[in-house]
Parts: sequence; structure tokens; C-alpha cells
Amino acid sequence: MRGRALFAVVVAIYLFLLAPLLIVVAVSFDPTDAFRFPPPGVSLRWYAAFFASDTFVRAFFQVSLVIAAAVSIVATVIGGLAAVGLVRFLGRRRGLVDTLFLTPIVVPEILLGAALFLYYSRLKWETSVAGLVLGHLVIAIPYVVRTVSAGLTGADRSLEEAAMSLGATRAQAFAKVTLPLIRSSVVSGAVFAFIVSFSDINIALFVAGPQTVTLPVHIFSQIVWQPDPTIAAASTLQILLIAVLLAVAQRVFRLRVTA
Amino acid sequence: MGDLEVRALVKRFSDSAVVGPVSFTAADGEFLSLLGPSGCGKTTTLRCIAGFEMASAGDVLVDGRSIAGLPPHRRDVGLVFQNYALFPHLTVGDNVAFGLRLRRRPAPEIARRVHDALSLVDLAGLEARYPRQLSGGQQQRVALARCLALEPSLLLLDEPLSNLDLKLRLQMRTELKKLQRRLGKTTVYVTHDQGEALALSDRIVVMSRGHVEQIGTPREIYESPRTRFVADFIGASNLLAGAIVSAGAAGVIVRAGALELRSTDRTPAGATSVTVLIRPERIRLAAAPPQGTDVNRLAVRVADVVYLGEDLQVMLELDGGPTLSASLKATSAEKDWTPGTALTACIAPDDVRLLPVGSEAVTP
Amino acid sequence: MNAMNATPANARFFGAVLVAPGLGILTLFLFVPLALIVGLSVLTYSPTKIWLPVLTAVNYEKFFHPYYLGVMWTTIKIGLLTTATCAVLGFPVAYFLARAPARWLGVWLFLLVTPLMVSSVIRIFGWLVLLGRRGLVNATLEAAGFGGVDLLHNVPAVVIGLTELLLPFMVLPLMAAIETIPRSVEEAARNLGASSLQLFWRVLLPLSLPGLVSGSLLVYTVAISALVTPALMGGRKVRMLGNLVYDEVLTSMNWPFAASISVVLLIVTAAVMLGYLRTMRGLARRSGQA
Repeated sequence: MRGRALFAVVVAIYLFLLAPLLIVVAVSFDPTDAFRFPPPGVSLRWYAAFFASDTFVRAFFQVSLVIAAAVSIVATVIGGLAAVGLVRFLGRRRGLVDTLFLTPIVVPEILLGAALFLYYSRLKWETSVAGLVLGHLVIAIPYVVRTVSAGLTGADRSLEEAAMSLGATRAQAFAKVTLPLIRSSVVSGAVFAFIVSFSDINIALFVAGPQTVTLPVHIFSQIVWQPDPTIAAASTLQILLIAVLLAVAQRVFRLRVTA
Repeated sequence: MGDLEVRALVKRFSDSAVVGPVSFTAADGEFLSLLGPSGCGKTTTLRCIAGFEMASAGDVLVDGRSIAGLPPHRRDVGLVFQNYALFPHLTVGDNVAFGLRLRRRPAPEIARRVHDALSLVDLAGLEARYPRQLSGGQQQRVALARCLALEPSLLLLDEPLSNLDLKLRLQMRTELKKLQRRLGKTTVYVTHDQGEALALSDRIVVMSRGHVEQIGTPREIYESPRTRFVADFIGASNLLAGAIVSAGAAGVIVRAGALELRSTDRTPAGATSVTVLIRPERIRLAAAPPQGTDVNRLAVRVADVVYLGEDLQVMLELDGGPTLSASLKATSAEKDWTPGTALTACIAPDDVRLLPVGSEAVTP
Repeated sequence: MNAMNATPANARFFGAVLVAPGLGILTLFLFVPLALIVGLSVLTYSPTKIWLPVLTAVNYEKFFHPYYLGVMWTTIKIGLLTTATCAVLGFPVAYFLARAPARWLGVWLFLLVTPLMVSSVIRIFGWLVLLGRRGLVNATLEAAGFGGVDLLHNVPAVVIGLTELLLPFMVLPLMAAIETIPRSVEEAARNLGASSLQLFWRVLLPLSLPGLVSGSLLVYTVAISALVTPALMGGRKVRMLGNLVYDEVLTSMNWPFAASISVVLLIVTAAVMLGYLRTMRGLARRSGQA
């Protein structure tokens, strides 16, 4: 009895949670531009408009995708190294460094954006891909550090030791035994870094310039200046990209989401 | 005041496991145990009585009124959990007062009843402590007091002693029995430990694989098991495959291997094959055959002697026959029996029990 | 790679080397910029040169102007409302997930987390389509003969937008906390006569308090620094500190003032975090886990 009532309440709340996304996806297929739900028919005209729009295509593929990929790779390498350092080498000194790596998560994103903007102006840097990548790295690296640290802490040291007793050097044991074991943590960190970069709006709003308009920024300006369902098409494509990435990561690499 | 009847209770699970139909009664003030190995359905049955499982069929009645439709918080039963389930954020006193506060009893009454309940379990004065500060045995007593404070019609205990070490378990067993006798509360007790069930219960419901094997007093269960499972589960047994040779007014002759035995037990209805049960402690061993005609006399040889301190377990071999296990109190003479010693084993016909092959119970 | 077999001192050095690139990036692109902002906040604004190396407290004094106090108050109000709404909506979901069978948990978590990972602009766009002047609700109202209604550009709209955005941040820590409550404790409470409401109030809530506090912290600190949500759903009428920062930095170019707003935001966030840490320590001590 109360189990069913709870279920109904939870489903209602989930609908609330997913409502905006569902509406966006539905509207993207609406043949008219009157924002109706359910849409009177199914049409791909807005997707065609998306691909016909230089600005949208550029924002999605040449800016957001590229930057996110770059951020993902660099963050994974740097964050991975840092995690190894934290877990395996720093021992008791870890605490302070751990906290430092958590700071970006604690600082509000718009402050990061504003601070970077002012900082770049002070340094007389023009807006550039590198500037945006660096800004995203700041918020992406902590995710990688956290997931890889968790994976390393959970990895069984005795397996490495067994490899060494069979003749491997410490480095070989690490590379051949531990690294494959933490593969899922590394990949999930990489996926998070990608998503965080792709979806970011608060930093990009400050730091993006005419050449580095990311998809979310472009959507934002379109909403303000020229709202039409092309936005919905672009949004649906982003939702699809993110959902697929998350699903693949969850299935293939048993991604466990923790707060 | 606290009569319990479980009537044809059935619980079907999604993986096609089924418990039931289970039927038994507990009279007011009776101590009833549900005894069986893990997975036999005893905990499921208890949880159905408490309301945490909804029965698929059947009924549970207290004092003649059905409670099967009531949600757990409206049933007048107290449940003591295996892991005590004390509220970690409340003191002992607040734990015991929990149910009383829910019922909005006045504060002085609550204080008095909490004190009384804790005194019953010898924990008066510990009201201000937190559960984590208590030992396992103390926590268990708080869990009991918490139920008793509400003076329920029925008390349910789910393997409450299984998390305690042996010495404590035995001690708690005696205290529990004394307490139950004193309060006169109908109690249903779930356990897999036959010693516990035999020591505590007025009657035992033996269960296996989702159904009831036998219901009876400890003595009936031990001395007159009605199925092979009950014989095997309670106490040690020698179980032999037997064939009825003849059945008449003077008793039954049954053949098991090379043995022919006389029994005063009844044959299971119409059966020609039976399982013969002989309790090890009922086999009397002597170096020379005693006098008397109506005792089963077997020529045996000692195969092995196991010294268990208080008891001696003697493995016996018969020519062409089964091996038997005998149990006796160790005295100096028997301790010196070596393998190969020839002895005579005497078994009274009353001690040769006949059970059905397979799991059907004997119709009384 | 012999450093890996090495003495503790060598190990620490090697560790430092590994951690350096990450810390370097954080230092250069996080700590330094933030320090700069703190510095900028006490310098004087100049319309021509943007800032002058003259110390002043003007940028902080500006806050006591009613307009800016109003914005602060709106920000705090929205933060608290969002946190409360997330707590009320989040508890049932967290409880459900904590008790859900493992088979289904993956699906439910996926549905919870995916919106979180999608850009906030997209979700707000969805709300605009629903609640906007030309949106679905208004279209339905107008088709039924009622006039159109401005559902946006008010505090409730912003709270709705932020709640939808931040609900998962409340659910996840709360779920983790509820998972630590053994089911037998719940059953014991029920057996002693607790109804669902009493069970929640006397047992579940006290025992899941750490998770609630954790989630509230997350939701509150993100809510008060919101920019996109109030910009799009609040319009001119609902302005939060985030909107102020954006305008002062990119439009008015009064960077010192923008810096002081940022510092105020930082201080509020830090204060909330400290309060959180204190509360957690107090809670832990009370339940004997310290």
C-alpha cells in the first residue's frame, strides 16, 4: 500500500526531473515552430536546419567536441598521474593535496569563469581554444583524480606483489597488473571530464570568444536572440551524445556514480 | 488472552519457492518453537505473523480474530530481531520508551513502564546509555524490554541468541525461559538449534523445505519422530532401510540388511518398506549376552571407539549387516574396548522406531 | 624507475613530481586568478582604465545600497527555497533508491544522473518551452479561452528551474546515508507501532541527517551562484549575485566591483562549508562515530 504510494510519488518526481528534457526532444521533431506538445507530427526539418547552420555545426563539432576531447585526454593524463602520486607515494601527506584538488568543485563555477576572464585580460591573452581548455581542465581534473584514486585504493596490492615475486619490476607490475585493473576508473574519469567540458556553460560564458563559441554558449545566445526549434534539435543531439556516453560507460565499465 | 492460530498459511515467492501450507496453534502462555534448518520457512512464517510478509493464502488469528490484513504497525505482537535492531540515535531508555511515546502515554506512566521493563531483564539503571556502549547480551535484553514495555499479546523472537557466544547463549536461554514462565506470554521462537528448542519449548514445530514435518512436545519429537527428517534433524540417529517381514499383535518384525528386529511400533499405513530408527543411546552393550527373551540381541564387533569426554561413541560392525553407532557414558571398563572386541548389543523393541521412507508423516 | 622501490623520502619526491602538473594547473588557473580577484576587489574603478592601483573600500560599501542588498536577499532566499524544495522532493526518491533491488537501481540512477550531465541551458530551454509566453502552458490556456499568463520572471520560476537542476545533488548523498540504516531498524519501529510518518520523523530523518546536511550544502552553494537559470527564467525581475557578476564583468566593465561581488559569494560559500563541517563533526560525535 504505502509501497505503491511511494512508487507513484517517485515516478512523479522523476517526471518532473526529466520533463524539460522530454519536452526539448519532443519539440525538436515538431514540424511547426509553435512549440506544441505533443507535437502534431514528426519532422526532421529542425535537424536539417541544425546541420545547415554554420554557427551551430561549428559550435558542436569544431569547438565543443574538440575542446571536450582535448580536455578529456589531458585531464586523464594529468589527473591520473596525480592520483597515482596521491595514493601510492604521498602516504600521510595526502590530506592537504587531496583538499587542494577538491577546491575547484567547491568554488562556484561563475567565479572561476569571471576570475579566468579577468586573469586573461590582465595577461593580455586573446580568447583562444587553449584558454578555454585550461579553464575546463581546472574543473575536470578533480573528477579524474577522484575516480582514479578510488580505483587505485581499491586495487589489491598483493596482485602487484605476486607479479614482482614472479620476476616483474615494480614498474612492470604496475603497468601490467594494476593499470588494467583500474581501467574502469580511468575511463570513467575520462568520460566525466569529457562531459563536464562539453556541458559547461558558466566558464565558457566568460571565457569564450568569437572563435571559441561552444554549443551551450551558442544555445544560450540563440535562446535570447532567436529562439526557434533548431535549438531543440541541437539540444537533443547533445542529450543523445551524453546519454550514450554515460550508458556505454555504465555498461562496459561498470561506472558507479557516487556523490 | 494470547491464543495464536496459524491456519493453512502459504507464502509464494517470485522465484517459485513456496512456504506452506503451515498450520499450528499456540495456546495462551505457551512457548512454541519453529525449528528447522536454514531455508525451511520458519523465519518467513514468523514474518507473516508479524506482518512484514503478506501471506499468499491462509490466515493468522489472534484470540480468534484475523490479523492477516493488518499492517505491521497495527498488530499487537512484539518482535525481537536477530540483530536486535536497536535505534542507534536513541538511549536505552528512549529505545524502550519508543512504542509508548508513539501511543502518547503520559510521561510518568512511560517512565514507570520503562523502568519495569528494564528491571524484568535486569538492566535497570542503564537508561542513559547508548546501544553502542552495551555488550551483545545487554543489547539483546534491551530489544526484549522494548517489546515487553508494550505488553503485547504475542511475543515473537527471531533467532535471538544466535549472535551470542556459547556460554552467554546457554545463560540467556535459562533466563529467557524463566522470564517467559513468569510473564506467561504466548511466545513463538524461531531457531535452527535443536538443543535450544528442546530446552525452551512447550511444543515444537519442526519444519523443512517450506512445510511442517511434525508438531509435538520436545519429548514426542525426540522419542517418537514421525518422519525421517525429524529423526535425523533432532538428536543423533541410526537410520536403516528396512522391509516389513511380519506385523501382528505381538509386534512387527522388520529386516534391515542381515538384521532381524522386533519392534512394538506401528507400521506406517500399508507400507512394506520402512526406515528403522535406533537412537545410539538406546543400544546397550555388554561383553556377555544377558538373560531375557523379548530384547533384540545382536552379535557385534567394535569398529572404533571415539572418546568425547562425557560420552563414548562406539562404532559397531555386524557380519553382513549395517554399521551402528552406539553412545554411552564412559566408565573405566568400556574405555578399554579395542577395535575387534566382540560384544552383544541389546535393543528393546520399544526403541526400534519405524518411520516412513521418504517424507510423508505417519497418520496417527 | 627505481624510485618506486625507494625510501620514504624518495617516494615523497616522486609523488610530488606526479602531482605537480595537476597542482600546477590549479595554481596557475585557479588559485592565482582567485587571488587576483581578491586583490582587484579593493582597487578603484576607472571608466577609462577599468582599474587603478588605489586601495579603496568603495566596492564593498556599494553593497549596502538597497538595490544590491535586495539582490543579495533574493539570492539567499532563492538558495534557501531551492534547498528546502530539493530536500522535500529528494527524500522520497533517496529512500526509494536506497531500498531498490540492485537489478533496477542502475536504471533509476542512470535516469537521475543523465539530466545532471546535460548542459543547464538545455534544461532551462525545456522549461521556457513549457512555461514561456509562447510556450505550452500558455498555448493550452489560450486555446481554452483564458488569457496568457506570465509564468516566468518571478522567484518561483527560478526556484523550479534550480530545483530541477540540483535535485540529484540532494538525492545522491541522502541515498548513501539511508543505505546505512538497516532495514531491521525500520521494521522494529513499525513493529512497535510507528506509522509511516512517525517512522520518517523519529527514525529515518535523525539517522539520515548527515546525508541531508551534505546534500543541502551542495544544493545551496550551487544555487546561490546560479547565473543561467535566473538570467533566462528570471529575466530583469529576478536578479541574483551571479547575474550581477556577469553584467559588471562583461557589460559595465566595472571589474573591481565584480571582484567584490565574487569575494562576497566566496565568503558566503566558505561560511556555509565551515558550518557544514562543524555540524558534521557535531553529528558524528553525537552518534559515536567520531
